[in-house]
Amino acid sequence: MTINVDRPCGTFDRNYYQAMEIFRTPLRKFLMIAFIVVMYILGFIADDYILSLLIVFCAFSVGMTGLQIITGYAGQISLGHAAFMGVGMYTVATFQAHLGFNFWMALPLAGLFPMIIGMVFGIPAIRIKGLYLAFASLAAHFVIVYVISNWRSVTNGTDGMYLHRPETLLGIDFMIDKYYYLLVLTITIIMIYFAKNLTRTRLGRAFVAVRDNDIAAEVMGINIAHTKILAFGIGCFYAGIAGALGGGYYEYVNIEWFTLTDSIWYLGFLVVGGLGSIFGAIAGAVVWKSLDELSTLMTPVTEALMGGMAFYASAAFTLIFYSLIVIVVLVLEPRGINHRWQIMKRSYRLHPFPY
Amino acid sequence: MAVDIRNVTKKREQRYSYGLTLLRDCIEKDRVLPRDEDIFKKTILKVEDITINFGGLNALTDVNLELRDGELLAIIGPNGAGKTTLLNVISGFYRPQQGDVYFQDKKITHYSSHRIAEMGICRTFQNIALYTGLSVIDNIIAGRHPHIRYNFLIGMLYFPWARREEARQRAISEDIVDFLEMEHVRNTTVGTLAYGLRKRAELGRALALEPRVLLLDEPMAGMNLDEKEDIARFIIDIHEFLSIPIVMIEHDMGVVMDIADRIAVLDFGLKIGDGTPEEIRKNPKVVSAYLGEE
Ligand SMILES: Nc1ncnc2c1ncn2[C@@H]1O[C@H](COP(=O)(O)OP(=O)(O)OP(=O)(O)O)[C@@H](O)[C@H]1O
Ligand SMILES: [Mg+2]
Repeated sequence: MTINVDRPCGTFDRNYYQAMEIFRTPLRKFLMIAFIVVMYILGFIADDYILSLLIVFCAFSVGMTGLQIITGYAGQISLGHAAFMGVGMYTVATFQAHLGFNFWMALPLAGLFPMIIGMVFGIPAIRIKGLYLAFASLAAHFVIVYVISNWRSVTNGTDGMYLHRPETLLGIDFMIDKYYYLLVLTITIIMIYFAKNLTRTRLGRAFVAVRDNDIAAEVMGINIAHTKILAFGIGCFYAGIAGALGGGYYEYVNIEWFTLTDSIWYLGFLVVGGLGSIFGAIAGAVVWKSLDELSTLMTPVTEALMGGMAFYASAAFTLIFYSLIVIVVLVLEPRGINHRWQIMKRSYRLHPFPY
Repeated sequence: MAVDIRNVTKKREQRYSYGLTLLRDCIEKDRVLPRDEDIFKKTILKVEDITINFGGLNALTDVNLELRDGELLAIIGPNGAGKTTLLNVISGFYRPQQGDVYFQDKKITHYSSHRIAEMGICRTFQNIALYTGLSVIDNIIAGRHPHIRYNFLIGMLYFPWARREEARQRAISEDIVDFLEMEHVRNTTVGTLAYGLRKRAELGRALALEPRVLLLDEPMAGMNLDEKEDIARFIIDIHEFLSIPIVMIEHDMGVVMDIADRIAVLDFGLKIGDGTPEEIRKNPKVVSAYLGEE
C-alpha cells in the first residue's frame, strides 16, 4: 500500500489515474515486462530440472499470495493453508476420476471448493482473534486431512490419486513440461495481477482496515464479518488453484504432501517474505522452495556423514535449518524481505542525491 | 491558552474556497429535507431514556437528547460523566439496557454499527482509531467504503468502470485532503504523523463517509492553540458549508460557548442541563457541578 511513496525524484502525478497506477514510472513498468518476458523465455531454454523448480515456485507463489490476503492484508491467522492446497488438488483428482471432468473444467472447481470450505472455517474469525484464531484454524487442517484419508470411496484414502494434466489445447501438448510450465506461469501472472488489483480497490482497503483497527472499521461502515469471511474465501481460492497447478505437474496427489508442518512453514515463510505485500508473498514462496531444494540436494551429504540414520537426520536437518532461517530473518529484518526491497527502491528514488 | 474565536473567523475569511464541492454534491443529492429555514425545527437524531450500566456502575441514566437538523450541539461534563458512552450507544457500539435511539424517526437501537454508519451517522474517536498502516489519503478513501459502487470481483478484474469509480472516489478524497490542509502529508503513513494531524485525518475519514450527522469525541483534546483554532475553523466550515448537524464533546468551554448552538451537560450519567450557551451559563446545577470548579 505504500506504492505512492517510492518513486524517483521529480515524478509527479498529473491526474488521479496516474496516482492509481501499479507502476508509477515507465522504467518500473518496463522492468516488470522485461522480467515477465525472461520468465517466458526461460520456459524454452530451461532443462526439466529447472522447469520443475519454476513450476513449484509459481504454484507456491499463488498459494502464498492467498495466505498473504488472509494474514498479511486482512490480519487473520490461518494454520491450515497447506490443507486447502490439498483440497484443490483432490478436487481436480476426484472430479476427473469419478465424473470424467477434464482439467479445464475442474480448475475453477479447484478454486471454488476450498473457497467455500475456507469461508466455513473462517466463521470463528468473526468472534475470536490472534492465538485463539490460530488454534481454531488448526481445526481446518485436521478436519480436511481426516476427511480425505477416511473417505476412501472418493479419495482413495491414504493411497493417493492420479490426476491428468490439461487436454491438448490449440495444438499445445501440456504433457510436455515446457508447455505445462508456460501454462502455469500464465495462470500465476493472472492470479497475481488480480490479487494486486484486489489490494488496491475497495475490498483490499477493507481488509487492511479490519487488520489495522477492526473496531474503527465496523463503526466506519465496513461489515467486518463479511470482510473477514471473504478474506478466508479468496485466500483459500488461491490455495486451491495453487494445489491444482502443483498436482497437475506431478499428475498424482497424496495426503502426505500437505502436512501440518507445511501449513506452519507457509506462515513462517510468509513472515520471511514480508507481511502485507504481494511481492513479499512471492519472495517468501521462492525462498521456501529454494531451501526445500537445497535440503534435498544436501541429503547425500548427510547420508555420508550419518550413515543409516540419514533419513531421520535429513528430516531433522531441514527442520532446524528452516527454523534458523525464520529466526534469523525475524531478528535481522522483522518486516521481511519486502522491507529490504522497499529500502532499495527508496534509495534509488533519491538517487543521485541521497539525504 | 483559550481559542480566540476572532482569530478563527479571520482565518476563515482569508480562505479562498472550501474546495468541498464534490462531497457537498454527494451529500446534497440525497438530502431528505431542503436547505431552508424549516430544517432547524426537524429532529434528526433522538436519544430516548437511555440507561446503560457496566457491572453496577451507571454510566448513563435515563438520558434524553434531541439533535435538530443543522444544529451544532455540544456535550460537556466532567471526566467519566458518560459522554463517550453516549456516542458509543448512538453508533451502535454499546447496547443500552433501556431506551432507544432514533435517526430520522427510525429506531436504530439494534442496528449493527456498520449499518448505522452507512445510514450516515459518522464519528471520530477520543483515542484516535485510524488505520495505522495506511497513508492519509488511503485512510480517507477507505472511509468512502460504503459509497463505492462495485463489488470485489469487478475490483479484482479492474474493469474500466472500476477504474473510473476509483478515480472519482480519489477525487472526492483529495478534495477532503485539500479542505483539511493536509496536502503535504497526503502520502504519509498515519502511524508516523504528529498527534494533531492524526486527529485531523480522522476527521477527514469521518467526512468521507458523507455524514448526515457527525459525532466528534473531543476533537481538540491534547492540541496546541494553533491546532485547536484550525480544528474549530474546520468544524464551523463543515457545519455551515455542508450544513451537517454536529454533536461535539469538548472540554474547552471557550470554544463550546463560542461555536455551539446548544449545549447539553452530563454529570455522573445524568443530564443536568440542556440549552443555549447563555442558559447553560446561568443554570445553577451546571454551575455547581461543572463550571463552578473553574
Ligand atoms: N466498556 C466499559 N466497561 C466498563 N466501564 C465502562 C466502559 N465504558 C465506559 N465505562 C465507564 O463508564 C463511565 C463513563 O465513561 P465515559 O468514557 O463515557 O466518560 P466520558 O464522559 O467520556 O469521560 P472523559 O471526559 O474522560 O472522556 C466511566 O466511569 C467509565 O469507567
Ligand atoms: Mg470520553
